[in-house]
Amino acid sequence: MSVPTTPPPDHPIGELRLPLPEEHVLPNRLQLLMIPDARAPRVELRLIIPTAGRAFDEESMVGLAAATARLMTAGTRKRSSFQIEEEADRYGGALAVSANTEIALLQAHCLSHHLPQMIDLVADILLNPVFPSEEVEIDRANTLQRLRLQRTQPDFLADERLRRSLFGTHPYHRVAPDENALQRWQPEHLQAFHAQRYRPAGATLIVVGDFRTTRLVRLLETHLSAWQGEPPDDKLPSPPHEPAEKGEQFVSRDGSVQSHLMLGTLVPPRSAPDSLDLLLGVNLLGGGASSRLFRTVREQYGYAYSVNAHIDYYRRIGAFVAQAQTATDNTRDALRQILYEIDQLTHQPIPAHELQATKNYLIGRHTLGWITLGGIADRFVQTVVHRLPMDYWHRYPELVHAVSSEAVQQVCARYLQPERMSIVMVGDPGIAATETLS
Amino acid sequence: MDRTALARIEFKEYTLANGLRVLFSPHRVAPVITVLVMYKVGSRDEPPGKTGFAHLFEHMMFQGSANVPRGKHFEYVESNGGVLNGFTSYDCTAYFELLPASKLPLGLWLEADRMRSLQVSQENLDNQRAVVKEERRLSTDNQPYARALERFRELAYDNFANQHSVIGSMEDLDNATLEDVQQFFRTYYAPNNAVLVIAGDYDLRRARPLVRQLFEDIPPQAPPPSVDLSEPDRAERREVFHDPLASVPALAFAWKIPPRCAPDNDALQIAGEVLVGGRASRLYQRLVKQEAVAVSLSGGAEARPAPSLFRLFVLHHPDIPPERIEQMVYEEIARLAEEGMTETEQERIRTQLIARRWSDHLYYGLQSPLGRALGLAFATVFDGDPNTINQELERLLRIESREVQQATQRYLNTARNRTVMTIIPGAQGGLG
Repeated sequence: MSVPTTPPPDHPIGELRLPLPEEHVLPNRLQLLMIPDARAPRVELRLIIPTAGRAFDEESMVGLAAATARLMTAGTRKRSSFQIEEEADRYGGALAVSANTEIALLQAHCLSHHLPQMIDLVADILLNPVFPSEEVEIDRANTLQRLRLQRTQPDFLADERLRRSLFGTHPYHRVAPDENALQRWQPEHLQAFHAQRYRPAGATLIVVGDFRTTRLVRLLETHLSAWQGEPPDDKLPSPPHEPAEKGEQFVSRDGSVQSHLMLGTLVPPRSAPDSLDLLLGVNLLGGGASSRLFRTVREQYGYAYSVNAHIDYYRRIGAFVAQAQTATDNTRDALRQILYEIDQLTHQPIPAHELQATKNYLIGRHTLGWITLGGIADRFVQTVVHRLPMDYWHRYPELVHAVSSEAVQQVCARYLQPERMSIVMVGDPGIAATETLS
Repeated sequence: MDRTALARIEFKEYTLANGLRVLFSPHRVAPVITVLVMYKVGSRDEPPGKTGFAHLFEHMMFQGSANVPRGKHFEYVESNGGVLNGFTSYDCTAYFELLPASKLPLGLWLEADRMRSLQVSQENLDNQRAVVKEERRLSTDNQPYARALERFRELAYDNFANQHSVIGSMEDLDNATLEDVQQFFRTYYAPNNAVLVIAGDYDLRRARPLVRQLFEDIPPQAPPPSVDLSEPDRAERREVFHDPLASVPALAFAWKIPPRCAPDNDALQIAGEVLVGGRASRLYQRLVKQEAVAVSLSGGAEARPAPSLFRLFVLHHPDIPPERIEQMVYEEIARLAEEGMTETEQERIRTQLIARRWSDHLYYGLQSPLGRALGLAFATVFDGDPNTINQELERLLRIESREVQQATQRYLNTARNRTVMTIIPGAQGGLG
């Protein structure tokens, strides 16, 4: 048999048939998005609490939002923390609440035949958390140690410093609790944060998996009828549009044998009209193993194992981030190469075949997001958080294909100039004394 | 329906004339396929002086073959909407692509081309050596606890084949030559030392002739040398490790246990769930909640196709003497050996084992074609029989409390074959 020297012929990429969620509003004004899908005997739940993230902490209590989220599962009027964990396990599931920068997110899953019990459990922690003082003390002590651990990890240190460089004093910079606040909060602070902000009006529950919608609505109406009210209508201050500190920032970390490089700048949010143009540019730069940064920084020069670029999206702003970890001696060479590639992107026309390859890559990754029930649920979390049209992901391939080389180049030239970058280097104290020569 | 029956992975097996085992597992949910090739070679096959080579070699498999020039592998996959990766473990090395369903021919062609004809140069080797050294810095040399845990494995095992890390030493990486690369390819990367799995949304009737066309004339090689993995019994071993990058004290424990599929390994999987499986587990409840001495803990029974370890890693509060933690760990092990597990624990663990088969992870579980392919490949390469992926759950669900008790008594409730490392932090983790 002959061996082909080129890939055998295939068909064009088939169309992904995506479900649109069934929308429903409960009497308490909780928005419900339901996608019944029996591919696995499992149900995924995501509850978005829109104004309970870290950015909503008062300046004197930074960390309270995250502690409130973590400790929602630490005990209710009916159940101890052990009972909550044990029950979630017995339903073939898991249940946790976490706070990110803007939102708090309750994530749960269970085997489908345990859905009624899981909803009973979820309702209990939403309505009746007590934040027991002994659990608050344990969490306080452990959070302090985790923070000490994080402060020895290069990626955490880089992220913490970059967010400060980008956002300055704007609350988007927060990634960890303030140590003094951590010593201060008491159960009543957590209770108050919960009572004020974990309200159904404005919140969205996404349910994906093996269930019947009419039955689910009935269950939720029964279990969540006592959950009422709306959160305060407080708005975050507008985020800056230019980084607070541009240029190089150093974080000394004794004993480092590698520098963690992180470059970033502020870009439009997900919902902006040009966000896909920029997303294509950033993926062409550092999105995968055939991106420019990977091809040069890693495959040509061997400066790094991991090098990439992406955009972190917040509701009202985006943060472009490029990063690599490189041997201390290569720090300057690696940084120069990354800056060179960014500069090329902003100045040179983008070859059509490279843009087409990047489009296919993005659409392919999009497809992978629809393999699992949790992947589907997470897609709709983005839809809700970034206030995208409900059919955004359905139109995504078409929207990506419509982007032109010129649009990508224009938007990169506008937002990614090297002069707009904050550049963070975490590593050996000696790197601060070196300079990048161009 | 029987609750385990749903969680079966259906497949058809077919062996080519050159000895390549091929597993077809069509499953139509999302329009995606996985092509996965797993070779039966891992860090355990590395002799002294060659540590890290199996993994360095994995990198070389992306550096060019007869019809796929350097860098093109990544480009072919990604520009066709796919993702790819490879990994090396102690006992196997695997390569996979997740691609849109229509791109099955491309995935097969790429894997066949590099199974047939690796083409690499000194320049590629030097480049990937540098990349792997950065990977070692990133994963090990520049991270808290990572050097300690690398050393811990050397201490826990007695046989070199099991002791050394997959990433290997900088010195051995420096010594790897192009001749080593070619020799390794000839010895281990033969069709008769591999399994090909195709999972996801495709038509078996179309895939089968394509597999024959692309793979069947790749010549087989003599079976690779087998490696002695046996572990002697020994007395307890202890060490103190000063970690200049860590800021929180820790304790690491390990006990040598039998290989995967052995009845005692199965029973110790369940013991692992009772002791450290999640926040309802006994050690979590005792150490983190009741006594509030630990910050976090993790561990459980490994399931290598070789003498394995039951491991436990405890991050603890600085004001707690490590001996106190050790005492509590041994008390909980003794209690499990003496009393076994409760019915509630048994029910909880059984439900979790079933539920985990439906995990949301792309690499694990039945929702993802890659999870299906990996499950089948591990079973074939490790156990010689793809059916073990479907038998595993049934075996674990049948384990009774008495068997957990006996295995815990025999392997864990003893200082024999035990290793304990106290990790003393040298960094401040500067606050404020």
